[in-house]
Amino acid sequence: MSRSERVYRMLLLAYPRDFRREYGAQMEQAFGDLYREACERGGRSTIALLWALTITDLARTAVAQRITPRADHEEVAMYDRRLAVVGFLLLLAPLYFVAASLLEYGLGVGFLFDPLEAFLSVAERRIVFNVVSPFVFLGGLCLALALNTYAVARLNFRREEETMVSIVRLKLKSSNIAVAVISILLLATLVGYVFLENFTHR
Amino acid sequence: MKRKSKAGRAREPRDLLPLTPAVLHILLALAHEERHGYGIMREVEGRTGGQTRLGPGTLYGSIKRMLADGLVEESDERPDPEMDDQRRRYYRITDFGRRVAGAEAERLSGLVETARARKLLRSRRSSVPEGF
Repeated sequence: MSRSERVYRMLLLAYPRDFRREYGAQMEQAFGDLYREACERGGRSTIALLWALTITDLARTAVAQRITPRADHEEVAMYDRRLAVVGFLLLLAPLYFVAASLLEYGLGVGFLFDPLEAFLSVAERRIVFNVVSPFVFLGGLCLALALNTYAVARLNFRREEETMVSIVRLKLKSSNIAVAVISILLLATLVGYVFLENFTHR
Repeated sequence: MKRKSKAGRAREPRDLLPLTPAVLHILLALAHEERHGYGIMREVEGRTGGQTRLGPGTLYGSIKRMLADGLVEESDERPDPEMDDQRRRYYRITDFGRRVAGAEAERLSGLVETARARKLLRSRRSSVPEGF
């Protein structure tokens, strides 16, 4: 295999994995054929022209393939389910913390809070928890919200004569919507808690 | 025969019009015989006198869409297995693809007729410049 063919094989990484799996070998083979033909025809200038055309083609079509993988309905459904699962995993830590705190301080039920309190009884752990938890809780919630909002909502802008028209498209994906709503509720609870703790007069 | 979309709705050839230039070139390349990717590239380049060159990304991006739309299908047959690389995949036009290509050709033909009627295009007889 020539150096050009090896370089082209590396450049194919610009395409989405599914597309590469399906067509990568054929594309390599087609480029190899074009390359050998260019070598036989005219040497360096023909090879340079082939590379110019190939790079232009690759840049344009790799972007197109990355923008439009959502065209396949089953692929989209699978992708949305993955986002729901990832979002749910990101929710687990803040959900546990908020549920444990509400049960403990609201209802006096401590079966969730006690293990947390026992864990935080060591000073070093408490310091680490205080530093890390805002990033994990708020960051995780924001990420879960963003991913699942992306899964269900699309905002398109279109120019009509002198007016910009925006169109919001919503997909009724119950799992993604549930994760997004729980994220918003937990975020509101945590932000409210931080506000009450730090900015209200006692 | 009407082809059904993924949503189950029967599709008409005109639902896919206008075709992109790459898709139409691929359909034309496959109109008479099955070809592999490189064969399609060579046919398009040869037929257009080198004016149109399909890169691998354009070719296989279009083929992916055309397979999904039922315009082409993969062929198991090899024109000459002895002479050919077994890894190559051959494609052939479907009946639906043939009808879509025909509908697109009709559409383009209508445009050409309009252009000719509005004196934007010389008729074939007078395409040779005067004085020759």
